[in-house]
Amino acid sequence: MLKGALILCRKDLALLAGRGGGLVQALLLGLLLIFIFSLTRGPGEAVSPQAAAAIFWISSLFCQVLLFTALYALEESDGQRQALLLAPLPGQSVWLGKALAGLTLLGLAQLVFLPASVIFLGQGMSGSIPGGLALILLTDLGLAALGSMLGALAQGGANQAGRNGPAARESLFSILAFPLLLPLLLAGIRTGAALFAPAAGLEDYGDWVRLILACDAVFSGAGLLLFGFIYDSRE
Amino acid sequence: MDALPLLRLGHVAKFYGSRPIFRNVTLELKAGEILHLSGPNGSGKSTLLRVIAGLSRPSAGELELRLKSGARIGYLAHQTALYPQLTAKENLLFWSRFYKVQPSAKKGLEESLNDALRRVGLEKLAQATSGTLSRGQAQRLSLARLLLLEPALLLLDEPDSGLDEKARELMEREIAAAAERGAGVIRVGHGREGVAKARRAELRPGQGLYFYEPAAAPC
Repeated sequence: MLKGALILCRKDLALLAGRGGGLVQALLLGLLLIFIFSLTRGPGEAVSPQAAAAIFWISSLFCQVLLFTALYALEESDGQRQALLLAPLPGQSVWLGKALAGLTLLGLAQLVFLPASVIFLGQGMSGSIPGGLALILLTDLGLAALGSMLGALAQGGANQAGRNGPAARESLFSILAFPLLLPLLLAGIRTGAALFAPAAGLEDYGDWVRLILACDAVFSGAGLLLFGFIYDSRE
Repeated sequence: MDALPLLRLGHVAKFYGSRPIFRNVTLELKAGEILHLSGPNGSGKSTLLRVIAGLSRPSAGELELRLKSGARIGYLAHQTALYPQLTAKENLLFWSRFYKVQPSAKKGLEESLNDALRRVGLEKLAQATSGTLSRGQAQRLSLARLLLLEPALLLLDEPDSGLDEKARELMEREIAAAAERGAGVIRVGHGREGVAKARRAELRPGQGLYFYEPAAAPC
């Protein structure tokens, strides 16, 4: 399963990152959000670390929606989904491959969003940098696990409704994703202060870290168990 | 050759809601056998292939596939399953890896890919992105993808659509070669291509399969 997932992930990264696919669009949207929020602060004012973390995660969330709809749309243009389903591999390979590709692309986008947050929102990276980055990665795991499942679900829903356009997929994805991701996002925002707030220690965030880990476990488990049913397009 | 059939369908039916697409389809297909399936539009030929491939559930009846562990099903329909942004060779490389194709010890994977492209006459377009290929070239590349997988069961839905005369001959040759290697082949078509070496059957709307006796087959 892992080998098949890595092969799929490599192909998706080549298509979305290497050939000017959806990554650029997702990056621009995230940067635009950070820039627009930066206009709310007056000259010389700094946004609070908590608010900066919230803006960072909102940008990441919109980026996630675009990335995972783009990742699953790749398999719909000319019957690729059928060919994936006929491969002698468990269906979860597709879920894992898309999750890994989405995680990598989201991480790349955040490498741009993070310095943009520092510059435009007047933040200092004065917190625990390795700890803060580790917490971002942990939150990203949950976003990718759920994103991969919902990307397939939104694509299937859009296909069944006969609307295979990006607007239908992204609307459906957003409706499904936002309520489910709220606890994870809240934890991401609260722990985001570990990166931006001066002298913030990771020990203050124990409960939030446990919430992130729980979300990661639940979303990954749900993906492994349910993906076969979600992506199966048999009438 | 194995005497047991590779595929057996017993009174298989497919309904969309209460509307019957086909019913009472019974057939056996042995390894190395080619079945040419014809029938009028809307008789359910493509749906039957999708049911056999496992892409659609039968509404009634029994479907039994006797494939060895790890054996692959090759399915070629009107869609090519190619990624338009990847080159012809990258497409073949991705699908061969995803389908766990083991290249022979004699030929490496690289040589197997080149060989597949050569067999369908696309060796000069190996580095062309698939999106720039014509409909016929994309169909040939899709056939190369299937042949590379060396499927035990090959399901072809009007594989010659969009192909010129030369490409059709090439496709017939490759289908015959796949059957000689032991693959069971079911091909849907309206024309007379490839009928000579195939068992013929017609899917009649709302009825089952009607098999033509070889001697009775119209010329």
